[in-house]
Amino acid sequence: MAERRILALHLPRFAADRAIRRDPALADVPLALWAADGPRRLITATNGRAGIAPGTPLADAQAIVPGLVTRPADPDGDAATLRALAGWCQGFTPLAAPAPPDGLVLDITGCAHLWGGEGPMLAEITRRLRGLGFAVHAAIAATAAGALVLARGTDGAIVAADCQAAAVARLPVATLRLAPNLAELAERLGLRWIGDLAAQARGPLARRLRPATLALLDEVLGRTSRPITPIRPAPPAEAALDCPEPIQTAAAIAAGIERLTARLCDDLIGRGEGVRRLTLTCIRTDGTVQRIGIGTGLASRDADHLARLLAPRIERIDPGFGIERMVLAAEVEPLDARQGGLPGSAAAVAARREALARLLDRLRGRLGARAVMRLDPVPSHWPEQAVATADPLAPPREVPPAGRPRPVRLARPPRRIEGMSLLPDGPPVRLGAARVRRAEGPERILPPWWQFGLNEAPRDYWRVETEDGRRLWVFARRTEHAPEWFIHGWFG
Amino acid sequence: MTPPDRALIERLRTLIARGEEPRPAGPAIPLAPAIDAGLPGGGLARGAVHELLAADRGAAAAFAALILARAGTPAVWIEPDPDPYPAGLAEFGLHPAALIVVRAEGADALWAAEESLRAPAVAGVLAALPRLDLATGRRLHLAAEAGGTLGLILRPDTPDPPPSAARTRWRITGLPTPGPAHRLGPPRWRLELLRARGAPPGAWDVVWDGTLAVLNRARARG
Repeated sequence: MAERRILALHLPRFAADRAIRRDPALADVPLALWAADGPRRLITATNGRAGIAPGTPLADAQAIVPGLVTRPADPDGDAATLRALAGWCQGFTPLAAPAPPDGLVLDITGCAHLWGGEGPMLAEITRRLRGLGFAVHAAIAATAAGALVLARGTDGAIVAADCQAAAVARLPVATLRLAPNLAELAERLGLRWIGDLAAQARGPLARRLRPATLALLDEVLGRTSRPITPIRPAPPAEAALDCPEPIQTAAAIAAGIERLTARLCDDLIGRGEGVRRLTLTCIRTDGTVQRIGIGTGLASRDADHLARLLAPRIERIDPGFGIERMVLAAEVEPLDARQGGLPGSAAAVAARREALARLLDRLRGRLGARAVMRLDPVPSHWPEQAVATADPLAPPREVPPAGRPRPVRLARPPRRIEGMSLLPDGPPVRLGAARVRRAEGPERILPPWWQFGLNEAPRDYWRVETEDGRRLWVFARRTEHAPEWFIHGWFG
Repeated sequence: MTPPDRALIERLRTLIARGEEPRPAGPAIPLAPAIDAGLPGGGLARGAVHELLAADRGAAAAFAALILARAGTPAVWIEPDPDPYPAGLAEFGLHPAALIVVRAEGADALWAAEESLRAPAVAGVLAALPRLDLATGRRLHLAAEAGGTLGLILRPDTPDPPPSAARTRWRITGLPTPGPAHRLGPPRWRLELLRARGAPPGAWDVVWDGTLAVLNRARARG
C-alpha cells in the first residue's frame, strides 16, 4: 500500500478561542466555559489566563480566581465551527475531516510539494490558523491517529513512517485520550508512556484495556492505518442560464424564470429536497447585479408555484442595457416524494395542506409576510395580551378554557367615548348618544404589575346593552376626576 | 429508473392530482330549520357568494363566525384592520386555529378574496368589501364556484344597497333583550333575508344559545 502522509491539527483551547472570536472583549480576561454535569456545573474549557483546570466545579473556580468571566459551553456550535474549519482546510487538500472535539486531520499525500515541502506546508497552515485566532499544534505522520497523538504531545513534528513508533513512544498515555476508567487503569499499572504500552504483550493488554485500545495503539504506532472520511460540502442548489443576446423585457425574464425553475425543481427531485428561499440574480452587460427573492411557507418543488411567486417581483429588476446571465439559487430543506392518495387518507390531507401553503405563499408574496396570520389565544388576563399572532401552518395551540364572556371583536386601541354613570363605581347609563338599558359587571382587571414599562391603570369592565340592541364591552379607567370610559369590544 | 424519468413522473403526478381534486361543492350550510325551509338547497349554498349587511358590527361578526364554523376549516378572514378576538369567536363555534386572518384593503382585498375563493383547500372566506360593484361581484362568484368555497361579503348597512350578484343578501341587526332590566340574555338578532335567488325574502328574530333558534317571524323592512 502506498504510504500516506497525514497532517493533524490540535487546537488545545478551541472552545475558548471560539468564544473569544465571537466576543473579542474576552481576549484579555481570565475566561472559563462551563457545562452542567447532572446537578453540578463544571468548567469544560479555559483560555490560558485562568489558571484552573477543566473539571473544576464552577463555584470553586469563581472562588479561586476573582474576576473570572464565565460563559456557558456551546458544544453544538463548537462542532459546527469545527466542520466549517475542516471545510476551510480544503484549501490545502480535498481530503480534510474534523476529529472532534478539537482536532482536524488532513490527508496531504501528494499535496506537500505545492507548498515547497511538508515543513513549509505545516508552517503555512499553522500561521493561517493562528491568524484566525486559534492556538494550534500540528504534526505530520503516516497515520491519522499517530499524527493526532503527536500534535497533542508536541508541536511541529514531522515524522517519517519508519520513525513513527520511536517518536510516539516518548509521548504520555494521556495523549491517547482513552476512556477515564482505562486511563486510570493504565496509570495504576505503571504505564505512563506510549512506549511502555507498546512494549507489553498483546494478549494480556487486550484483556485489561479492551481490544479497541489495542487497535488504536496499532494505528498510533504506524502498524495499521485507516483512511479518513473527508467532509463533502453539499453542492449548492442552483440553475444558471446564459442568454445568447442580452434580454431587456419582462416577458423574456419570465420565460427565463420558467426554464430555470423547471431545471432547478428537476434537480431537487433527484436530491429529495425542496425550496424554502429562492433568489434570482440577473447579471447585466455592464457587470452589475440585480436580485429578487421569495420565500415559501412549506418546502416546495413545484416549478409553476415558484415561477408564479417570482412573477410579481420581475418589475423590480432594472435590465439596463440587457441581462446576459440569470442564476437561480435556492436554500433547500429535505422534502420527501409525495403520492396523491384517496380522499380522506393521510396523503390527501397532506396534499390539501400543501395547497393551503401555496395559497398562503401567494397571499404573502403580494401583501407582505406580516399580513397573513393566525390569531392564537394566550392565557393572559389582560385582554390585549390574550391574543398572539402565529403562522397559520404552525401546530395549533391549546385553547385555554372559557372564562368570562368575551367580545367577538376587540378594538385596538380601545376607543374613548363620553360616558355617564349615576354612581361613582356604577355602570354607565349613557354612552355617547345612546342610552344603556342593561349592564353586567363590574369585572375589575388589573394590569400585569410584573411587566415593567406597561403604564396602565386598573380597569372596571362592564358588558352593556344599549337600547337599540347593541352589546358592547366597555371599561372605566379610574382617575382622580370622573372616570374615563372606553369601548373595548363588540359582543355578538 | 433514470433521474429524468423520475422528474417527469413527479410532474405528471402533480398535474393529475390538481386535475382530480376540485372540492365537491358539498351540502348547503344549515342555519335554523325554520329559515332553511325557505332557502333553496336547505341553507346557505356553498360554491357561491352571500352578502351580509352589518347594521350591528358585533352581531354581524358573530353571525359570520357561526357560518364559517359550519362551513369547515380553514376559513379566511380578510379585513383592512382585522380585529376578531379568538376568545369571543370560540363561543360561536369558530375555533381560532381554523381561522386565517389577512390584512388587506381595496384592490388587494379583492385580489386576496378571489385567490382564497378559488382555492379548493379553503372552506369559507369572509371579506370586508364596502364598495363592490356588480361586475366584480360576479367575478368573485365565479371564483367561489371554481373552488367550491363559501364566500361572505361584509358591508356596512346603507339605506339603499346597490344591486349585487350574491346568491343571498342578509341584514343583521341586534335586538335588545326583553324583560326587566339587569342581566344580559343570550345574543338576539334580527336576520332579514333581503333577496335570494329562488326564494322569497323574509325576516326572523333569532336567539343564539349554542344553536340558532328562531323566536318568531318578523316583517321585513324594504
